Amino acid sequence: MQSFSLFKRPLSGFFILVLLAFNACKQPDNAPPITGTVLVTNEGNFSQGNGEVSLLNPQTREIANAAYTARNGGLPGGLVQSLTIHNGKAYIAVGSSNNTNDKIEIVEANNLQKITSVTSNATSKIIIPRYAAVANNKLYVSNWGNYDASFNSPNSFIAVIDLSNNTLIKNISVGSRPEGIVVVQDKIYVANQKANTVSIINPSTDAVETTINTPKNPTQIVVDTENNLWVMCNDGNGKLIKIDTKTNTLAIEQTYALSTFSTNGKIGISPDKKKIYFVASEAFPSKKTNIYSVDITNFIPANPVLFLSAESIYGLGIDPNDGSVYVGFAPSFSGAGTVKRYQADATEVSTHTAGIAPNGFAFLNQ
Amino acid sequence: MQCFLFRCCVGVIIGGLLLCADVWAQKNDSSSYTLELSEVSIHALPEMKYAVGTKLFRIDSAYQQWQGHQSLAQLLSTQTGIYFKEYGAGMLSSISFRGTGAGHTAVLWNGLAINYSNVGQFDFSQMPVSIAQNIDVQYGAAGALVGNEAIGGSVHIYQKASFLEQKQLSFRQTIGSFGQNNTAIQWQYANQRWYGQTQTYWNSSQNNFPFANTTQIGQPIQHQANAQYHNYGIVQSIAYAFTEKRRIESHIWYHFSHRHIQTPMTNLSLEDRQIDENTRWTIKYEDQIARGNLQLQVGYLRDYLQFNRFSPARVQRFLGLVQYEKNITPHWQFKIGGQNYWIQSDSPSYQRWIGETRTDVYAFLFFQPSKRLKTSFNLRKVWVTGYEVPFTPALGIAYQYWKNTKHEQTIQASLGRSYRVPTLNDRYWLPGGNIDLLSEDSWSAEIGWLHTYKTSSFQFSTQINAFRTMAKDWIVWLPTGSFWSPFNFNEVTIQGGELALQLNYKGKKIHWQGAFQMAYTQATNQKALNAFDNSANKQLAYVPFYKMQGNYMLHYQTWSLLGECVFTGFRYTTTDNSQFLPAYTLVNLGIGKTIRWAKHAFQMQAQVQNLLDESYQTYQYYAMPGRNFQLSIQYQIFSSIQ
Repeated sequence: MQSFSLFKRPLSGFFILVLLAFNACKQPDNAPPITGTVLVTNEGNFSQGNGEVSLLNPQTREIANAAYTARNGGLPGGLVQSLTIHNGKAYIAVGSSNNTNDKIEIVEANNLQKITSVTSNATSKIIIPRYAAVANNKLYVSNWGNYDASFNSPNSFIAVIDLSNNTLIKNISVGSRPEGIVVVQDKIYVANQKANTVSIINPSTDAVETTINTPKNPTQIVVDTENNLWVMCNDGNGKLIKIDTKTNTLAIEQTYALSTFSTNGKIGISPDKKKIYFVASEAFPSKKTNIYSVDITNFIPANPVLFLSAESIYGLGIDPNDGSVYVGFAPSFSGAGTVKRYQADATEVSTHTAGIAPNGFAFLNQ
Repeated sequence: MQCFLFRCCVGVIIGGLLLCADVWAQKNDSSSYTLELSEVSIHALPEMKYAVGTKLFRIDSAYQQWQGHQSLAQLLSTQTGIYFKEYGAGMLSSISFRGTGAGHTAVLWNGLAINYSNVGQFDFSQMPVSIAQNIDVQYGAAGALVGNEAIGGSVHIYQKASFLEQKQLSFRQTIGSFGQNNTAIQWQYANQRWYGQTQTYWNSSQNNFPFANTTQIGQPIQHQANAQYHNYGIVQSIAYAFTEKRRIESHIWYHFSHRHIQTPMTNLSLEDRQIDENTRWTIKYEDQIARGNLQLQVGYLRDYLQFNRFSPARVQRFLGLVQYEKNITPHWQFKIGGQNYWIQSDSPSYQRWIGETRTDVYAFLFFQPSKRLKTSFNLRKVWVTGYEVPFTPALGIAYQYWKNTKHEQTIQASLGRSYRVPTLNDRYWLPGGNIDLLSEDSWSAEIGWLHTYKTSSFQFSTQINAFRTMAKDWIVWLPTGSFWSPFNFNEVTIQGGELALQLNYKGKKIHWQGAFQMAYTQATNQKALNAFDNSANKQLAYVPFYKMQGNYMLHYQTWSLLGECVFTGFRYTTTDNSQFLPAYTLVNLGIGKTIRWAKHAFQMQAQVQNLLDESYQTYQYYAMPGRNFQLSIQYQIFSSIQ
């Protein structure tokens, strides 16, 4: 009979409906995002150009290799260098052995359905694309540019793609061999490995505003909670540097006396932004590569702690949601690689057979 | 398997239909189907006497003459169980003999080791069949007898001076699909003292065949880009016989090749090119000393390779060889010898001038205690600048346990060690080259059974072989620090079996030659590169488990008919066996007609290759042509005393 009373007393009924409506908007507090898919980039073999993308489900622990071909009926068409996710789309940097087929493949991030590919046009180029970041609805891709006769890269640039119409609109000249690229406070920071600089680009003008000198071989960049940049460099010894983006100056330069240190530049940061992971190979004749972690809780780097030591470590990725460490192993370029997932305490979670030379990871939330 | 049988049937039926059509056009001129074969006496390389217990195969000269426009890679892949990894049509063709890698087959041209020393392999696309007068294929390890790199087997190509009075001039022209053109001119002169032979060739192709691009979305039909090539060369042989036993001979081969490197399906925009220029020259002197045969040989090899416009790689080699062979009694025969290669290179990849010597001493012994039992014992010891190669012995035995007027049956066995010296790239490449490398080391054993049935017109032979090779210290380039470096790392076990049937029927009007071969090869990698490598206990990449081929040649009066069917089983393309290329069957058919008039012979041939239009790859992403056609004419004028 109560239900009848609701209609008999419309005012109180209205009140209840308002309450219900209010409740409908209520969510559980601090529901953490969950990684639904890890997109694994498998570089492929240089001369064969058979790079691929694998889709790894961290919940079911299943991996789908050659997922791009499975979806589209053809290969991405070159070496898969990196993959950047933005607004549900994945931007895949694809290189080719002679750099004439270099492109950015744009696909749906959840199923890799191809949308389009962006290649060089009359005014702007894509030549040896490396990594990408998004600002002002534009994709900024670091490009080595063409080699000169002695295999140097004097004409490196950042390629700018307008994401409203997926058009390549500009090349911005930067120092030789730009690699890692990040966006902080509406500015783009790119590490120029051979020029030993970090360039700062203003996305509203698409011009380089400032250039910061660094130690040798700055490669990849991560950003902490106070918007400091942490850049892995290598001048014979490993060097971790901190750049304060408020002043755009080199704030800390920490040398690691790892006698056999040489970095391949791969770097990652924990979800709480308090721990940096980086990859360093041991010197000849050792075939081992190590992953170290460095605590930066107080914005001053502590001594590195060995996280993992193994042969053929190639790719590194940190899940921004749960802090899992994904490591790609490439024992050869003529056979499948392996992906292993570790907890932050280095406990192994799962092992997956991947494609050829898994070199990086991108994370898509459920 | 069913697929193979079905396709073979198709091939045979079509062949048979053509034969029926053929029989209608009867004529009464018997055994005039072939041109004069420049070689009158047929006998294998003298060294092969010491290869007791191993399998030998001589490419039939009639096939060779038919396929004079082909490359050695094409001929060997249809005539033997050998697999070739071809980087496209007419491109680099790497041999895989009995499951081994490209550097595990010794290739000798008139006794010169012609594997390129910087990479340790020969490109079989770079030898036209027209200049390969004699081709002997020796299966299995022969480190002691042949030397470096004879692990999977060895291929011997040689000219044989024949001092029988003859003069001969021949011209051959082939045109084919996709702009194929092959021209060969050969001149030969001999009397009791002198022998001279000049062979020239010109081969070219646009090579723009259509293929379905399986790597691209929608698998579009595309035309192969950047695969055109041309090559030309000359082979000059001169021999002079002072007496019957004392003679001197010289062979020079100059080869030039310019090719656009066929693009992989994944990137059709590549525009790479390669120029190869090779010069090989050898002089041999033979004399009778103390009732034995003394041989002196010198050789010069120059390999020049330029990729795109990069600085060329140049390697020069000089050979000096002395050997002495003697029959002690009719039952005992031995050969001892020594050879030295001086190698020098100024390849830009080494960033310095490098020199290396490789010195071999060897002794072979052949002992035949009875007519039915043959044995051989061979030994070789090698020194290379900076290190020593372990002793390589070999032992062989063959016993003919049954023989009557029609049947012969033999069992044989051999055991031997073989080696492969690190290549110049392995030792001197900068950065990474590892001067401390050892030679690759392997032991092989083989057993065989042979049966021949022979009547005056009919001959049928069966050969069954089983082999096993245990190899270690195979050189692999592995990542270290910031560059890659070679290590003596891999261990490989190869085992397999081969069946070979050969049939030869020579009737009054019909001459039928047929062969069937089947090879099963299990080549297993024993050692993973590290904990993350899944290649342990897996089949080596690009080694098919099964390869089968059947071929026949039928001559009826002035007509000839050729049929070939080659089945190649699936091949893994990755070391962890995660990907493979599917099996394929190639069927080739040809028909020829010879007209003779006095001292002139004129032959026409028409051929269809890949009749079934099979889409296949021998190396992943490198397209191969579908159905294609060739037309050849040969003209020959000769005078000879036979």
